Amino acid sequence: MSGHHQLAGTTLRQRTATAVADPVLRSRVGRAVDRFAGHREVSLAALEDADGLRHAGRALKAEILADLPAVLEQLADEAQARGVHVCWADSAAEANDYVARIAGGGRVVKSKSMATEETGLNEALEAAGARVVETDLGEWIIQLAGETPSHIIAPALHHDRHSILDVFEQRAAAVGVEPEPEALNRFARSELRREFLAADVGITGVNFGVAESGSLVIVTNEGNGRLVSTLPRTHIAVMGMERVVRTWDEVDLFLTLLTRSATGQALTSYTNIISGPRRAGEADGPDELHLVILDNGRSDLLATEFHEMLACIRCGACLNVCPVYRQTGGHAYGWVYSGPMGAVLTPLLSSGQPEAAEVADASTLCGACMQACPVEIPLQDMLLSLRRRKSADAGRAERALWRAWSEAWSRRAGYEATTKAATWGRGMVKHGGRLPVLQRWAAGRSTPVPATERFRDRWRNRSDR
Amino acid sequence: MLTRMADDLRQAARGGMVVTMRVALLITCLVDVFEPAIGEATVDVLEAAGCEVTCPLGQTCCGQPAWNAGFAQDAARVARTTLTALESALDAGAEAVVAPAGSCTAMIRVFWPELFATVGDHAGVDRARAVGARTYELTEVLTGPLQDRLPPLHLAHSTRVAWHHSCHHLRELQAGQAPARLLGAIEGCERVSWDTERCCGFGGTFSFKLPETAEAMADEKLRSLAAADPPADFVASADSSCLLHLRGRATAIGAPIRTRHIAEVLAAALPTEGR
Amino acid sequence: MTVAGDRRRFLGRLRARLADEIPSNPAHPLPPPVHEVPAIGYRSVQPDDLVGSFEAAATAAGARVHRCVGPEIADELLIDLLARYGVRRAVVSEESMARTVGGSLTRLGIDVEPTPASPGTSAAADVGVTSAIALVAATGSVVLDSSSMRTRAASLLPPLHLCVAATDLVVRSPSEVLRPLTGHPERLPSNLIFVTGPSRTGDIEQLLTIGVHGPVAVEIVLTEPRVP
Repeated sequence: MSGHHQLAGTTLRQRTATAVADPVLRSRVGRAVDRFAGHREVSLAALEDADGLRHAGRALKAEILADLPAVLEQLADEAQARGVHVCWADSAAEANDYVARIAGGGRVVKSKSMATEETGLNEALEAAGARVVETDLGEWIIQLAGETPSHIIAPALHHDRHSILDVFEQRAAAVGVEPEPEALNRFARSELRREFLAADVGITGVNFGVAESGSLVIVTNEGNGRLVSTLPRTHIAVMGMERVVRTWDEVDLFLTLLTRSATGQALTSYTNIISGPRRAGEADGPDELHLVILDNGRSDLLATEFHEMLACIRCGACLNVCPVYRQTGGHAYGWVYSGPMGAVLTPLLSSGQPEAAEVADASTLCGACMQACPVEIPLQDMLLSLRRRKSADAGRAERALWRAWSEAWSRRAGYEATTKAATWGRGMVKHGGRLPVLQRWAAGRSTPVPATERFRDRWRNRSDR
Repeated sequence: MLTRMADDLRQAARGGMVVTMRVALLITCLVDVFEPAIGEATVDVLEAAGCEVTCPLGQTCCGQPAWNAGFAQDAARVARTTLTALESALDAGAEAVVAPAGSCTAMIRVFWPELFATVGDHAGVDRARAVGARTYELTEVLTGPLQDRLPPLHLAHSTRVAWHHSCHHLRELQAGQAPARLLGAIEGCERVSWDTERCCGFGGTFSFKLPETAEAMADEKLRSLAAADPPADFVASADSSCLLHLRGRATAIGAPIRTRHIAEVLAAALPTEGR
Repeated sequence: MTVAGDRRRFLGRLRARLADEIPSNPAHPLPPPVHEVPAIGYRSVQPDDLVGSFEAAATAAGARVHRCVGPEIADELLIDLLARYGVRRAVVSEESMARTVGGSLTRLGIDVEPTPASPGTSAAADVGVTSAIALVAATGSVVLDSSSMRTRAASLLPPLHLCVAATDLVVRSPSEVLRPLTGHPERLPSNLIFVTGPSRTGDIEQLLTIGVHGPVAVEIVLTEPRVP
C-alpha cells in the first residue's frame, strides 16, 4: 500500500479508543461536521427534488461505470487532441514515477488531491529531489505538522485556530501572528504566494474528467487550484480513473450535487474548467499539461459487490453524518480515507496490509451515509460484504462462537435451552469470565439481565388459560 | 359470502369485536429473553386494534447478529428456522407478520433476500421475499393496514417523550413518520426536542468490538437528553436494543434514565375497558 | 502528445473485469435507468427577476454587486471603488468592456498595465478588471473565459477582482452555461471559470474566511445592455 498511514502495528480498537479519549479532538470534529452537515441540508433544500437528482446521479454513475473503458478512451483521445499528455498509471508507483520524471528536481506546488495522498506522491517527489509545497491551507497545515488528512475535504479538521498557530510558529517561523482565522489566512497567503510565483510544476487532483471534450473540472474555494494550474509552466493533474463523466449535462448534475453535499455551497468559489494547455495569444496558463489516469486497485472493484464504490465523488458528506466518525475523527481509520467511504476503501485499496480489513468494523451500519450520499452508494451493504470477506480469516474462537450459536439457535429446543434465565446466568459466568470482549463490554454499561420468565413462557401460560 | 361468514365467525370468537387482521407475532429474541413485558404490550396493542394474534414458537432469531458480523452461513442457518416458522404461521391463516422491532423487520424485509442469495439458497430468496412482503414493524402496521383501528388513546398523566429513531426503522424501513403519527394521537403525550435521529452506538457487535466508541456515542445521546428543555419523562423507541444500550450506559455512568418501547407507550394509553 | 503507461493493458484489465456480470444489490437495488440528465430546479431563483436573484446570490457568496444606469460605469462608482481599496495600479483583461473600464481608470490617474498582462505584472497590481461571458442567478457566479480575457491571472492575483458585465448576460443556473457545451467541445476555451465570491477557506474551524490565495474582494458591476 502506498500513502503514509498508521495502520501497521496498530488495531482499529486502539486507534478509536485513543481518539475518543481526547475530548478536545472530539469537540473539534463534532463542531466541524455539524457545520458541514447543516450547510448541506440547507443547500440541498434550495433545489427542487434533491432526492430525485440523487437517484438520477446513482443511475447515471452506474451507466458510466458499466462503460468505463470506452469513456476513459474518449477522455484520453479528446484530451490528447487538445494537447494534453496522458499517462495510464496501473499503480501508485507508476503514477509517482511519471510525475517525478516530469517534475525532476524542480519546485512543485500542489493543490489538495486525495489521489496523490493515496499514492504517497509527496514522499516520492522529495525522494527524487523535488521541493513540494502543499498550498491548500489545510493541506499546508498538516504538511508542516507532518500529519495525514483527517477529513477528505477538510484535511486539518482536527486542528483549531490555536493549534494551527502553534504549527505556524514552530514549523513556518511565524512571528506575531494572532490566533484568529483572518490573521492565520494572511500569514499563509504571504508565505504561499512566493511559492506559487516561483514554482516550476503545479500538481492538482481532478474532480471530474469530461470525456466528450477531454476537459478537467477542478473545484476549490481558496483559488490555489487555479494558481497551481495557471502559474507554473507545467501542470500535472492526477485523476482516479473513476472520476470521469461523459457529457456536460452530467457535469452540471454532479457538480451541483458535489458542492452542495460537501460544504453546502451553491458552487465553490472557483470552478475551474481546463481544456488543454494555454493557447496562442494567452498571457498565462501552463505550456504543458499532463493527465495521469490512476487505477491503483480500482479495477479490482469492477463487477464485484464493491462496483458502485467507484461512483464516489469524494464530497465527504458520509463523514459528516457518520456517528462513528464524529467520535473518532479521521486518523483512527488509519489511512488517507476516513468515515464510511474510508471504511470501505481502506480494506479494498490496500491489499497486502493485513491491518486494513478490520476498518470495515468502524460502523454501526446505521445507514446515515447512504442517506447523505449524493450518488446513493449503499455503503452499509459494502461494509457488510467486507465483514463477510474477512470472517473467512477470523480467529478460531470467533468462528466457533458463531458456529455454536447457529447450531443452538437453528433449533427451537436449542434456542429455548440456551435462553432460560438460569442457563444464561451460568453461561455468562462461565464465558463472561473468560472472554475479555464481554468483560470490557460489561465494564462500560450495566448489563441486561434475562427475565425470569421469557415472553414465550408467558405466552404458553396465557394460551393454556 | 364466505368472507362474510368468516367475519361473523371471527366476530363471535372475539366477543363482539370484528377481527381486522390475523397477525403472527415475530417476538424477536431480545424481547423474548430480556423484555417480555414489551411483547405483552405489543399483543395488547394489536388486540386493541382488532387483531387476532398468534405467536409461532418455532421462531428463534432473524440472524442479524451473525449477518452484521459477517458470518452469513451462521446467520442463514438461524434465519431459515425463523423463516420456516413464519411461513407456517402464514400458511395457517395469519395475514401478516408483525414485530416490535425495526431492526429485525429490516433484517427480514431488506436483508433476508441478500442473505439467502449470499449463501446460494435461491429457494430461500423467494421464500424470504414472500414472507418479507407481509412483514411489518409495529408502528408501520398501526399506521398502515391497521390505520385508525386503535381506540382513542390517552395517558392519565401528561407525559413528555424523547423519541429515539432507531436507525433501521428510520432508514431501512423509512418508517420515520409513523411514530410521530402514533404519539400525536395520544392525548396527554408531548414530544420533546433532542438529538432524535443519531445512532445510539449499539450497532449489534459494534458495541463489543469498539466499546469505547459505542460508549462515547451513547454518552453524546445522553448529554442531549439531559439538555432537553423541557425535560423528557422517558426515551421511547421502536427498538428495545437501542433502549437497552442507552439505559445500560446511563446506569453505568450514574445518571439512570427511563425508557419505554413504543408498544408500552401505546398500551399504557389504551382505554382501560379495552384491555 | 505523448502517451505514457500501457493504455491497452490498462483498458484490457478493465474490460476483462467488466466481462463479468455486475452483481445486483438486493437490499438497495439500483433506481431505474434515466434516459437523460434531469433538469435541475432552483427554489432560490425568481424566474421573473434573474438579475435580482443574481444580486442576492452573489452577495450571499461574499461579492458586492452594483447596478448602473446605462451601458457605461459612472466615474463616481469607479472613484468610490478605487478609494475603498486604495487602487493605484490595475491590470485589465482583453474583453472590450474591461478595456473600456481600463480607459476610464487611466483617465482617473491609475496606472493601467498593457494587455495581456503577465502573471508577474498581475501579482503587483491592486485590481484586476475583467468582464464575463455569463452571470449565474442561482449561484451568484461570474463566468470567465480565457480566450476572451487572454489572461487568467488578472482575476486571480490582485487583491481586488472587478468584473463588469451587462445584465442581459444573467442566466438562470449553471445548466444554461454547461449544458450547451454537450456535443460542442469546440466551444471550450483553454480555461473556463465560475467565480463565486472571493477566495475563501473553511480550513480553520470550518468558518469561511475570505481571501486566502485569490482575491480578497469581488466587486461586480452590472450595466444595462447596449441598445443594438
